[in-house]
Amino acid sequence: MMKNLKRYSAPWLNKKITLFLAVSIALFFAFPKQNLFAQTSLNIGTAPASEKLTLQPGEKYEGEIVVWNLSERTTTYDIFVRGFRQIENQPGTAIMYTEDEEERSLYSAAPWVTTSKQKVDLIPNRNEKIFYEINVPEDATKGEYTVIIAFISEDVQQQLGTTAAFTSLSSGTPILVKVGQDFAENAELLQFDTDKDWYEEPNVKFFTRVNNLGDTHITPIGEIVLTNIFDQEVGKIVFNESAQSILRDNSASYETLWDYGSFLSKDNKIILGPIKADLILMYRNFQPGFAPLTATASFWIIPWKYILLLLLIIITTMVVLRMRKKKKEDQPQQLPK
Amino acid sequence: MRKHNKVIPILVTIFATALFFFVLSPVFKSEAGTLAETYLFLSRIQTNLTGAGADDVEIILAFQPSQSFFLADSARVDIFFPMADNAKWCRTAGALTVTGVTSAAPDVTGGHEITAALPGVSLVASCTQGNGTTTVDTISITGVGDLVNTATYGVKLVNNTGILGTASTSGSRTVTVQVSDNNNLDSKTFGVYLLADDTVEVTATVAAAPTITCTLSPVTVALGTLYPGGGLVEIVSTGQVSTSSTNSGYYWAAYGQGNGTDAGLFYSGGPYLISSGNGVGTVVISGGGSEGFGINLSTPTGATVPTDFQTGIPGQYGSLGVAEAEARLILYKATETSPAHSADIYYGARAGAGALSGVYTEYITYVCGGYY
Repeated sequence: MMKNLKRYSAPWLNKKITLFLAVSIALFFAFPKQNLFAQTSLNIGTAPASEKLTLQPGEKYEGEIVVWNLSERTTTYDIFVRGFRQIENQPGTAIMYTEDEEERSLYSAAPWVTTSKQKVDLIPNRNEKIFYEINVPEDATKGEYTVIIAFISEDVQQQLGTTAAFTSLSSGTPILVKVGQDFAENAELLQFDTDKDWYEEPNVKFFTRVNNLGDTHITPIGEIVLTNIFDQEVGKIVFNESAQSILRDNSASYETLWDYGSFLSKDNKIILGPIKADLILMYRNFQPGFAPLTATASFWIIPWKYILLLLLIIITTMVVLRMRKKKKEDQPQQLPK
Repeated sequence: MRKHNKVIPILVTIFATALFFFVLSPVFKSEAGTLAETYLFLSRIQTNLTGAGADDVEIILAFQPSQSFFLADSARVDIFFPMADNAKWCRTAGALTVTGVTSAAPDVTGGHEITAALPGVSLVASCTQGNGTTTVDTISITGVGDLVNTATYGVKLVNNTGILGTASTSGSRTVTVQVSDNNNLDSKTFGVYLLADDTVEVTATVAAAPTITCTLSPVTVALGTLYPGGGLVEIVSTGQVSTSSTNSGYYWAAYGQGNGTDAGLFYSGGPYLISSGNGVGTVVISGGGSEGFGINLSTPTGATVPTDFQTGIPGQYGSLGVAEAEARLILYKATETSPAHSADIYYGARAGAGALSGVYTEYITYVCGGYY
């Protein structure tokens, strides 16, 4: 009885509470706070998104890049100046070279570029200007060179005590520098195809692959003209509407989507059966019409569900009519009175 | 003697004149004081404003009398402008709209601060042009009520039909404010500074150049504990990457660090790598005993996730390459994106039976850009 009383006495409780608090505090300090997802965010905005320049040997160019940070904390970004290449044959993309690639690169303009900073602290909601200078050497050979001024967030080097993925954010402004005049613009069409041979409705994806054989970037633009079995034009799609470019010595794949949503064109031409797609694209700056790239692909549009339904309706109607007719024929004829 | 004969009549004349003024002039008992806490707040301080339309000028006058003034004694307020500014402050003679005000922009708490509107049952204000030789441009306010010396009065004068203007000369212009009634008079003279141009034109250009804004949140994703030979762990990081771009569209690429040769979850203490493959195709970790690490992305409407990184096949994830050289495209859209696109990232990992126990980490760099 006394023992039970002691258990609920104030000194006993006090001791327990003190012990509990001590253990809690010790645990709090012993283990750093861990979230499943650390809710820190990185944000970077850049302008311009890219720059295309034409300079001459010996010329100096001064430019600026504006960067901003819309997250809630100041973030330090390291500034890298390197040549770049496309990512996985995707036109218009840029990923900076590794140090090894930079050393081997023939067309990197990185050695010509100096920036006003090598590191920048981006304060939330404030623009920061990074000035850069390009000094084209006197002996630079004609052609196009590339450089990206990239910003990479400083590593979040921390340990969570568990398996984890730590991430950094990288963005930048790719700069394409044409040196000289009268560039060799040459390209070939490697592929023009659709993702399927037949479709239930006019929702077609075209794949086009272009290889740049010249000494400068090219921006192929053009259109895909669609004609039906009666040779009537049923559609026209703009190719590379966002004008994505291909770097020299690179090829690139373009996806063009035709999602029309009707079996009749605007001027009531039927979009069914075999459809022919004619691609015509131009890529030269000077007299582009003299060197078009053309190709043809074909596919079918067969709305089989609608056709099946229609057939079912026809067959059902025919069966019903035949049955009625038979029923009529089977009825005994009335004898003449 | 002759000299004295000439001086005496002059002295007599002066004496007679003085006597005349002191004895014969009307008796006028007056107390003159200085106005306190006085300011003249002009809505525009540019020279040569005509008072019409965009050149409209408004005046707020604040003052504290040093003594009392009474309506019964015809209390009034006058503002006198410089002689040289004849017909400039009063571009044309005429009535002004007058209102007592209880506050104005220049008020300083505890300092020059209007504490009461200028009283008056029927305040009347007029602008009178000077003649250029003996009279000056004057604004007169009549019908002023009783004033006490403990209040700072405020009064606003308005007219936008070409009456109230400003002088044509820039720099300091001397203005006298006078408060009076039939018995007393307070006044104060001060400068009003006019500028040739009082408007600062602030211009800003919203850039037409394509811009891109990229967000990565959170920056750390804990995958929890993997067990050697155990099951697949998948963690979804909701909306981890988001992008808005103007007309150039956007793309995201990613690469890992791994052990420097291949990307993946790396335990440096082993060392041991739970590999993300060779940066080509996918990593399939659905089967028992398999091992690997990869990511998938949800597809924002209108954007494209390359097939290798698409969700939909359980246990199949896109393989990450190592360093910039093996960066892989994970998400893209070729046209303007506003409002921002946001994609979830699914991290999938599985430890094989031979995996060493320890803390594994991978450093993934997400590259965001706009098309050129």
